[in-house]
Amino acid sequence: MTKFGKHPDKDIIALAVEAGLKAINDAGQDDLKVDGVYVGTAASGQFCVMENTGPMVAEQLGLLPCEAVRIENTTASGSTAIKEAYRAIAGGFLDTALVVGAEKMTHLPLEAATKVIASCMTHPTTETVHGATMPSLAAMFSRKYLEKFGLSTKYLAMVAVKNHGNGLLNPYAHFQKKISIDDAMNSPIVADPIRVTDCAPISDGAAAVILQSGNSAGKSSKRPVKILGMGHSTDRQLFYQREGDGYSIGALKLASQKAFDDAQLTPKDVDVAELHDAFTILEIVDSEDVGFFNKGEGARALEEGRTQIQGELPINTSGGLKARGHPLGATGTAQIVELVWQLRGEAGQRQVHDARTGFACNFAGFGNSAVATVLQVS
Amino acid sequence: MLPERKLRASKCSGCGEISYPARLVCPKCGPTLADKVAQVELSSQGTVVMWTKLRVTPTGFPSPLTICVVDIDGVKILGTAVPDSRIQDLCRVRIVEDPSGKFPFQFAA
Repeated sequence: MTKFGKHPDKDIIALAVEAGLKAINDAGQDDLKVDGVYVGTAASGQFCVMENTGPMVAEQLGLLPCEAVRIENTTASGSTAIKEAYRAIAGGFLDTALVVGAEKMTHLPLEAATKVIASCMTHPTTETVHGATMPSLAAMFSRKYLEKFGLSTKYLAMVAVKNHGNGLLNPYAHFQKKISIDDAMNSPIVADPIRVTDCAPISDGAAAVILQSGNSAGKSSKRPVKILGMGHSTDRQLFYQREGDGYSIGALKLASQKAFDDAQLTPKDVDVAELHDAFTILEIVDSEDVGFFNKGEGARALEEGRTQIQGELPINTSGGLKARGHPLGATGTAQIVELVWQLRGEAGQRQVHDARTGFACNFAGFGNSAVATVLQVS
Repeated sequence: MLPERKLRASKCSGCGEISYPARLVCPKCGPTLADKVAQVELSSQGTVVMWTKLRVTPTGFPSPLTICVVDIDGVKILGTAVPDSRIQDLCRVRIVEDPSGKFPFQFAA
């Protein structure tokens, strides 16, 4: 992957090519032949005036005439691109695919960037038109959850502090800056009760993986990591109109169940996880909906240190969306890159001891589509 | 007092589900029963189920802005409160016109 952050001198194709080359070289196969390219971007057309990023990336990587496509699923584009490539290979249609998640978004003035983000996230005629933004939705959801379970906003701050601490150990992270609970609790309010430190930043960056059939992966000099299961589920866009208890992300529960069922594993088997913390509340809620902790207990688990790198279930060792950064279409792919590094023992200072099984979840919008993945090292 | 608004929604005669915004297909019954969905008018009063005071508002919107989700006839609808409205969970609100024309409607406590 590239470092996530501000890249004023690189356009989206340059970022994607940089990440793609790294993945191709990392595969450890001199005669690697890529037969399909999947590029995940949420809004390359609106941010960069380029819709056809799939074929453009394939061309710049010297991979023509292979098939190439852009996959869009807003902030789940990066994992959805992996899912589509995985299915093509599992179905016997391709042998080797390159998946690149990429986004370039920091170059636009704030007003223009906000409009593009709104087009991905809030409903045009019933939310955006009223001035509602994603943080305002996250704020209402956060307050409901905190009130229901008798928790203060200090628990949201703990997510940000942990993830910044992990980001400091990740050379690819957007933020490599420690913050304290006090820093977080005093950061400006965006929408009551959530603050600037409760929201993932906007970032530029790209991340890439090579997926192969089992036969071909076996010829690599690197230890293959296997996708054991993936799930993808959807729910209503207007989160307050969804079925369920009002404190969960239904699409994530379904996607996770499917991924674990296909993998023939359970949440207890997971050694390390990357969850979708677009807002700090979501790391807590995701950890419950995936099945790591009971509903309402995710915050206490965090407080007890159980989700730290040295804890029993490390979450977001990369720094998460909060500190690693959130180039919208790259995030889902970067989560898988972090897990592969963890499962191969290549995570440097962030290394989780004896990590064999990893889990990632990535969503679109505020959970109207969720993709879950279970990985295991051979 | 600001004039009240009645929003248009859709209702499925098969299962009774009301949808806002109006839909062609009932979310519960699915596409095979789409001929059972018809337009209805909602009442102009509801109850606040959640809200926030948004301080970082998009360009062209006042700050702060009180965003609310209101239950009207069982369906949850998002909107903003008229300035200086005292909003909290469970308070009763009316849907009213916005005289400035900026907002399609607002909620007044």
